[in-house]
Amino acid sequence: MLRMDNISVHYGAIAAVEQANLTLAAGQIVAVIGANGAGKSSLLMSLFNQPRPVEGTVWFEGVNLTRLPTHRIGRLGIACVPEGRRIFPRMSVLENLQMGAIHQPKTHWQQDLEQVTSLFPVLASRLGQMAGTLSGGEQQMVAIARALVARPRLLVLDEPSLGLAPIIVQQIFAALRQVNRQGISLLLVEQNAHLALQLADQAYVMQTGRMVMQGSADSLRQNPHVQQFYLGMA
Amino acid sequence: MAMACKSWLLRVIGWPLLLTLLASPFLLLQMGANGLVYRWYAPLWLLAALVGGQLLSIALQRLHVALSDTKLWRGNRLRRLSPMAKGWGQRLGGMALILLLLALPFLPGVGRYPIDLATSVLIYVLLGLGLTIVVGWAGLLDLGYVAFYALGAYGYALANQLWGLSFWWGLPFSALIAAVAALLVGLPVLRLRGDYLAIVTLGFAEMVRLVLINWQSVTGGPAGLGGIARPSLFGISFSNSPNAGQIAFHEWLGVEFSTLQRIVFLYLIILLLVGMVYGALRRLRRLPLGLAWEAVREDEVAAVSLGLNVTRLRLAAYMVGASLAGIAGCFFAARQGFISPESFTFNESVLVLAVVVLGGLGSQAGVVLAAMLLVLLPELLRDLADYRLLLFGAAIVWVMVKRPGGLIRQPRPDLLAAAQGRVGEEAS
Repeated sequence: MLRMDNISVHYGAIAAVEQANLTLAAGQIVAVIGANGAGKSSLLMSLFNQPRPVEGTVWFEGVNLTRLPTHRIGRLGIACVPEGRRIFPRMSVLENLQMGAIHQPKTHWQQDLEQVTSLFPVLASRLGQMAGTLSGGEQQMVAIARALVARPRLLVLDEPSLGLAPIIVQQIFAALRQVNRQGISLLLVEQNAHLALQLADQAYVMQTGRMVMQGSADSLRQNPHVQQFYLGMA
Repeated sequence: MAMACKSWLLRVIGWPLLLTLLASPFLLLQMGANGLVYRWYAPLWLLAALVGGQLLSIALQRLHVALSDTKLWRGNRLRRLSPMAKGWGQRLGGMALILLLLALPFLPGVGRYPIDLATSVLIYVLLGLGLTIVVGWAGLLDLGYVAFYALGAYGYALANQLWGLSFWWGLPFSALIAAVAALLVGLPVLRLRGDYLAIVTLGFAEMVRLVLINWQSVTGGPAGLGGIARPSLFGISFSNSPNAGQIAFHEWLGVEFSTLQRIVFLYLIILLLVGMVYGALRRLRRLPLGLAWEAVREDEVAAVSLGLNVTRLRLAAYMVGASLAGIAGCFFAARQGFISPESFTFNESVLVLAVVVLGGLGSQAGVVLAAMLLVLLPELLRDLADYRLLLFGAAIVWVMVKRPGGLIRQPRPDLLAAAQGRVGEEAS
């Protein structure tokens, strides 16, 4: 479904990602773990050409994304939950969701709205509230719901656990598992390796811009190197 | 409880008092047989009428809430959010306001000066509504909005002189000219972020003004253009000696000629224009395009990742805003019958921007109120001569300190609905 071949991302002279490869099969959950500054977010955003990779290609369902402008990529069936949530703070929750569905036909809007509000019941009572006044966890839910009403086949999440209380993180990850069961593939970037490896089928480990390990989430969880450096076991 | 009481007082006494103060220059002075007559009692009538109206509207609203099925209101939030929650009181108040504005020139004792002044206010309302799309909704800082106003005015004036274009065709023509200019300026520039855009628009407005001054063979230079055709009503002219083929209004109606007829006609035109634009914008902000503009303002990266074409959306906002300024310019030219570059200085851009900011960024009702304040205040302060601008500035500062969000904070229909519905539930 998604294949990133030999991707390099540079910010001026600084190389954030170097020749990274990643594949994701339809229906899978793939996690990219790594420390702060390993290049995970850069890799993820290069999917959207933000910034455009200096080399390599991204294939999504047979389409080469590296040549498309960003706003076109959002219409292909990839939705993004950006780092730091990036909801529209001075718009209501309902309007935030409407923006997610802006390229969708009106016919299934009501149905999609009911679906995301049953996924995150707390949002149902917040629809009229300004999104910026919500708690961090609720904002993260809005961001995920906003991406889901775009009816993506691939949902891309950048650090969904960032800055949230553990109990909220549990809720959100449970919701993500439910989303995946509906047939939506997930690509997830996480610093919290523990959580990510619990959720994911496949995982990649990034270190200073390079992919250093890859494999099934279970095998990585057993890997002594991963255990020592990312799972905090002795 | 104290808060509720305070807002109630504000509604019943505060707003009527403010409106009365703003309207008093209209009402206090009247041309009598022996010059100006001072009518101290006139504002009191208005105040009484407004207070009465507010009381009535509150009573109706209470009745409406009491009658409506509270279960429906508290139950399904989804259903409640979709229609605009609005009481009869508000709706009735809105209708009364429209009727009052329509009837204003025909009220006894309303003379030439108040109608003229109201026309000026409405021009600034129109400009403010246009700029509110650009600055308030799309979040683009435009310091040269007057350029499109000037292009609209000169566009109509020249087309009228060269091709005999009538005022009614001039309106769409001016809108088009301004929109095309906005497209040409915006295309390369709107990729830039805020500060750069502000500088470029500032420069563009100055360029337009300098071209108007220096291109003497076409624009008449500093001397301006005169003899611009006035609006007519389906071929009925409002001048004393109409052109061939036109009927004069006073002959058609069989009354005596008066320039007042034309002034009232102009007032009604701009009232109609502003009313149409106001209504259209109210709808627009709830449509996907209006929401998308806001989304781009709120978070560009998120908007683009949702598949919104940010550049094109900004360009659209810029062009719609510009075309409204073009329409305002066309009306201005037709009203004055004479235009010169002096009317399109940087000061005008600042004044319109002040209308938008003071009104509360993005708020339409705020634009109306702020335009009234900013156009009427200098008139009110006329007696103070040299201290006029000082007091004017102080008044603006005072308003911004007291209401940092603007006179009327951007009203969000569905947020209002949520707030009203919450009264019963979250009494704690």
